[in-house]
Amino acid sequence: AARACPSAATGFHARAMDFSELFRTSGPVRFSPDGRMVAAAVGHRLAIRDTDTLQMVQLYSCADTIKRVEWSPNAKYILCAMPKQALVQVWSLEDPAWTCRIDEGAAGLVHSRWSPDGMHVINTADFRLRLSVWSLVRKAVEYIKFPKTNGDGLAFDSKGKYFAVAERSDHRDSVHIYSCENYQRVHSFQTDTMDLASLRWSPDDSTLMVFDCSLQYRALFYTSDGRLLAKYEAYENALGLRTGSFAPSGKLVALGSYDDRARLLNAINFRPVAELLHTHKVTSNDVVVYVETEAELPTASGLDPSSAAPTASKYEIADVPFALPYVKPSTDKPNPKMGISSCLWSPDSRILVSRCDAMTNCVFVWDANTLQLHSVLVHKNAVKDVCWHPQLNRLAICCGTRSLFMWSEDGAFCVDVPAGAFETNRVSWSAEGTSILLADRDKFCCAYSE
Amino acid sequence: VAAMDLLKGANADLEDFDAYLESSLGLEATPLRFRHSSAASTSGVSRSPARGEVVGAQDLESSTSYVNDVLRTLGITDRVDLASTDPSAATSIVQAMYALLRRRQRDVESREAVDQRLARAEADLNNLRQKERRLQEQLENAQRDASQLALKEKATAQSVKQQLQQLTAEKEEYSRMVKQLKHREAQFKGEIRKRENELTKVQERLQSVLSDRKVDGRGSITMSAAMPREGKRSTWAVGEQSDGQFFQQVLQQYEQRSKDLLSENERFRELVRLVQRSIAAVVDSDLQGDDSSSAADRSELPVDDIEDELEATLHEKLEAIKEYTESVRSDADEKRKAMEANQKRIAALEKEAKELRRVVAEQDDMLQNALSSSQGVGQTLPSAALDDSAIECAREQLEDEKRLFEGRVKNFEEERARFTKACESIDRERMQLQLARKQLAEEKRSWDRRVQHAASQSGLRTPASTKFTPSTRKIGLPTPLRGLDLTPRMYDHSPKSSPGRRRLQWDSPSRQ
Repeated sequence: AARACPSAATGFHARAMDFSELFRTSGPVRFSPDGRMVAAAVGHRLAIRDTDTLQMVQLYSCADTIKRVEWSPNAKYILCAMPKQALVQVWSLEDPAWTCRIDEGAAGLVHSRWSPDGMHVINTADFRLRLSVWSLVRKAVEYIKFPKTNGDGLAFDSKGKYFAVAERSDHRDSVHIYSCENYQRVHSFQTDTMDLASLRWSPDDSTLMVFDCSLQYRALFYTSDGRLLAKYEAYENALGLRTGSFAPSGKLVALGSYDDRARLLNAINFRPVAELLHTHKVTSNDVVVYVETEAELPTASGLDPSSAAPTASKYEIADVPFALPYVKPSTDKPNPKMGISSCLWSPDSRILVSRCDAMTNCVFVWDANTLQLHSVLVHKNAVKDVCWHPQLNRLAICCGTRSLFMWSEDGAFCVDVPAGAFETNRVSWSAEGTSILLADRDKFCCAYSE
Repeated sequence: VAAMDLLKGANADLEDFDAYLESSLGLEATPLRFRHSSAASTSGVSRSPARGEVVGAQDLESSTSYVNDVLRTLGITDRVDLASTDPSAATSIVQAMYALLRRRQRDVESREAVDQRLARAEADLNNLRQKERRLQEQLENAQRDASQLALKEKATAQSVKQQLQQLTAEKEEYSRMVKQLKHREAQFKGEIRKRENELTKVQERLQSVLSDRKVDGRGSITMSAAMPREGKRSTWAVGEQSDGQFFQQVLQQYEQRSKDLLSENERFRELVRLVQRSIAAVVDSDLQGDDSSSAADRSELPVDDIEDELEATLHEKLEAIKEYTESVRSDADEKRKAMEANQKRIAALEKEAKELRRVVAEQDDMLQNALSSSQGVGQTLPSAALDDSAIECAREQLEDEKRLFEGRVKNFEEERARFTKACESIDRERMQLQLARKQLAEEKRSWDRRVQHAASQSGLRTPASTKFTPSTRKIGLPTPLRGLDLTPRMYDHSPKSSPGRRRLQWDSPSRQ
């Protein structure tokens, strides 16, 4: 039975969304953790704006072009990373005069982040030489030598008490667990991987999920003291895992791999529950296929007159069977464009959203209770970013065009950014879900929904 | 077969000749053949003692003349003169006898040759028959082999198809694996390239660091003021204490996990118990209520012990349910079928009733029309109409019957005519037969008379001499009567011949 496209559906229908003006940015734009403010870097300046009014609250000046901006978890401080100079500058919102500058020197800087308690800054040096944990309270530093990877080999647990780092020595991978209070090593254990690629804590912190590099499909589950709970290898002799994530409830694990399948495991006994096949053709009658099509423009009033040929989009429900646009990946390049590149769980763990690299225009929405495909959203351009609402089952999608696409179980709709040429590259929700941040390469704006 | 017939005929002729000589001359063949009786015995008394017939002087003359005639017909030049006492007559007699004997010898030889040929032909025929039998057997064998081979061929064709399918499946599998390997290889190469790039960068950095001694590897932090500490300050977790905390946390997580598993286990057990109870309720409608209140609850035993038992009981209960539902469904099916049949019958009956009603209405109309046209009365007289219609029906029925009856009568007439014709033909034939018989008898009498006459005239003259030619003899009995062939032959009982005809058929109508 086909579901009706939203016109007057319950609660979630295409109301007109309020959009703010466009503001300039040179790249990094972030909501604060409480969603009340937006930080945007413009060159070497950092502008803090209030979310609702987008009025500038603070303006800071850094030494160099800011490449990365990160709010501290308590939203009182903000760090700006300038990797070229190996500098990190930390600003306080309450006290604009307060300065903090961390210089990594010859070690270089690749990545910088806050610790969950907001009192330490962790910098990753070049060539994975070390992790420097700077305590801003004690003005001291701790080093962790030879971490494995920059982004994914490091994970804090949900309470922020411990953090796990993957390291490699003597051709063996190991996981080291450090306490977040003094950053001393608490425990370490070796893992049975060929080349550890990624490390995740389960939502209840009891399990560490570790997976191997893309050459081998291997997902290992360890307790935090290093006992192997389960090993899952779906197949051999082919490219393996690309992504994996725990459901927020902690009951299921989604693993996306290069064979265009997402597998769900039961997080209690780690047995496979389902294999979600991303086929090129949708044949089941229960799946709703939303296809982005061009809509007739209403008489343009309030639109930027200098915009060149603005086109609006809308979703149409297509008939099943429907063939999805598919690009065959080449076999002679590394990191081929195939496989499941991301698996995102809804906040209540009932819906899983996956993206397949062979069909970049599509977003697959799966129902985790029935283990069936719920809907497929097909767009005219490749999907750039997908983001869940922090509390509700609402999905925001952007494709690098002027349109913002919203999906929920009741239906889906498109909203166009009322601007000229705006290519939405990134989208993120504020913490309460009342506003959405849409970022282009050099501009951004906010959208507000009730 | 024709040759054999001929031989047989020849033999028969010879035998007949012998027999004829026997019958008409009163002589035995053998004494003529083999007994070289002395010339003296030829003087008149040429007969075997077994005969018992006396041949007198005139008999001798007639027989001599007869013998000479026979010799002439046989082509022997020697003549016999039995009456004279000339010694040359004896020699001529002997020569004649010698000639006859030679002739006989030749005939015997020819007969033997013919016999041999016959034997050979029979042997050949047997051979051919055997060969034919053998070839037939071979043919059958060959056919059997052929059919078996056909079967085998089909089986092998099937297996070939299967193997081809397997082959294509394997090929697909192979190509898939090759593609996967290529992906992996490309990935490997990419990783190696990345590592190499990193390595070169590290080397460069190391070079720059080595050359630039001033650079301090340690980072530095400059802050205007220390960040105020947030939240409650926890005790400094020194080494072991932090370890202890960590492991405490780990232990807590383990306990939590085992608690979760226990609760899940409990829930599953409850489910199983529920399922059991509900199935028991469905199958055994009379619940044994006491069982559940017993102190020992077997369902709390560990799974190993009660697993099989549970499975078995579940199976049998499910079987019972299945049987029950099957029986119910089949009953329902039957009832449904019966109902459908009834409905169909009802529908048919309704249609019939409608038809009949329509017919009745039509007839009413017709009757009304008829009445109105004949009587000019526009009113309908229902009762009269009914009567009339009844009368009409009766009349129609009678007419039908009359027609039938007439038909039957006609048939009877036709049959009778046929029978009379047949009888007539039979009578005709009978009369003809009688005529023929009469003629036969007459002829026979005439022959006898003639024979007697001839015998009286010339002693041994036979009436059949002029007519006797071996070539015109038919197979079967020797009969002097020509034209009437009463020999039993296969008659043609084709369907063309009318059944009234008799078995006996005239062969040559000329005699009638």
